[in-house]
Amino acid sequence: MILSLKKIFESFGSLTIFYGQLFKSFMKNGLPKGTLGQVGYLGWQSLGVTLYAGLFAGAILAIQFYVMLSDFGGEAMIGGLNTSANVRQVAPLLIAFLLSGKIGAFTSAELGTMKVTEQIDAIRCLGIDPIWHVVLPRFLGMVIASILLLTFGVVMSVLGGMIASSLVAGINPLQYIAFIPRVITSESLISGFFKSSVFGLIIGGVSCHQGISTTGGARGVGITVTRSAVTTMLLIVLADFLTSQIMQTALKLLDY
Amino acid sequence: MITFRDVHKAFGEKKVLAGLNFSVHSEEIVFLLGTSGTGKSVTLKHIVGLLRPDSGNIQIDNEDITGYSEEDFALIRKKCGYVFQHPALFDSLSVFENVAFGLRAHGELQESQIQDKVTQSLELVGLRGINEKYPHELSYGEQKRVSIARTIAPGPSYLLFDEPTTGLDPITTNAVNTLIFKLSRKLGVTSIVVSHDMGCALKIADRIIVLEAGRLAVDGNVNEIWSCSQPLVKSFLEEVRLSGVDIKRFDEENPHS
Repeated sequence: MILSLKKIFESFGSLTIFYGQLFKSFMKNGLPKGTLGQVGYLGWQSLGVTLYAGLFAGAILAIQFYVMLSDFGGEAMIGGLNTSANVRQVAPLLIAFLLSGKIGAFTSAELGTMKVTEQIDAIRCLGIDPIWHVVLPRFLGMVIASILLLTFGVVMSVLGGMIASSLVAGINPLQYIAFIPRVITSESLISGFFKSSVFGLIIGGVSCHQGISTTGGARGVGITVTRSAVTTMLLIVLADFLTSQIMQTALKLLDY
Repeated sequence: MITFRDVHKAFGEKKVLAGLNFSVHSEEIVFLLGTSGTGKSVTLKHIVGLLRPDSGNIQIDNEDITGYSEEDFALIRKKCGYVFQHPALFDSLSVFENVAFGLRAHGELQESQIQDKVTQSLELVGLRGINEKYPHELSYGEQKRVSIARTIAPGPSYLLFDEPTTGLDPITTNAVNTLIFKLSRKLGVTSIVVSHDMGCALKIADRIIVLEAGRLAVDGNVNEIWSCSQPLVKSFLEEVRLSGVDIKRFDEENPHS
């Protein structure tokens, strides 16, 4: 138990140092070449599944709300409640999980393979900083792509909720939309965007850190990918709880 | 000149280098020989700072690099080209882009100069017309050559080869050995070759250093190695005799190279 706790603290410390290295490299050398290419590549690769997951997350939740609200004759509120739940909580969490298994696993496997086949050492031996040339473009690409994909996914979840409400509950789409502004405020949007940014930083940081720390051969890469996906998901859940608390406190202090 | 003085290195409980001392002089071809696990590759990695010693002192051109930071090593790595045991080519880049990678990243040359350097380097390793190919389209021997071209392109003063012929067939092994010999002589660089192939060493080395249990066991030229009575060297030589390989010196075959 004590050993496990020690390992957790060591991993957390190592990850924190890694974020520091990325920040230092960015401040020293600026935006690396290839960042936009990574955003495009990773974003395009995951756009389809993100839209799919967002659409169904919204639809499933809309049906649940309909089942609960129809007993009280509150169907008109589905649009607002469903959108609020999706923007603040369900869609970012679900899509972040999906992205950790998609672009997170992809990047940790790519960097892990580069590490075990000595490509990272080869870059170092050419007198080049692998953090700036190889890791930072992927990290920034993942963070930006994650934020964009999470935004698209959340928009899709609203659409999914609207379609499901119309098909299952017979709610007019205009009626569905009409209630949204009463529940969705700028606070909800800030909260959703803040969460997406934190999730993006976690997905990018953990997968790059795990990839670049890979040891061993093919088995090592396998361990890295599994560890990257699990660590990302655990940290996302923790961050979801913490960001919710932080946002509530911050918005109260700002008198929102 | 590269000098190791009383260098120690351990990985956990396992001591790999236990007080290693040796020097490599300018424009020499030196083979580091030994059985598996005696610290040959570990020694090579210390020169470019991929590993740091626990104690002792390493000097390159009279510059003490022992306490250098990762940033300080950037300059040393420009001076010392490292050829890895496996080609370690970048899968997503073409042959041309692989060789140009280091030159482009440093941003010191114009694109036309980079093109010339890449072409020259590929010609030196005997490769033509494969610029647009990707690593997976090449044979293992060709990949090795591309990795050597990538290493020599920035013009290092030292070439460090980590088991360059491991996993190659005898014909390609001979071709790679010829390449090491010719490159070293043609470019006037100092070469250190980590190997466990005494046959290759006898063909091209100016000096052979034999490591045993992380220490220097024998250091001598080819004639001295032939007459050496040290048990490990004797068993290496016996192996060469039994294999029946041709061990004619490359400089005798190619006196003008």
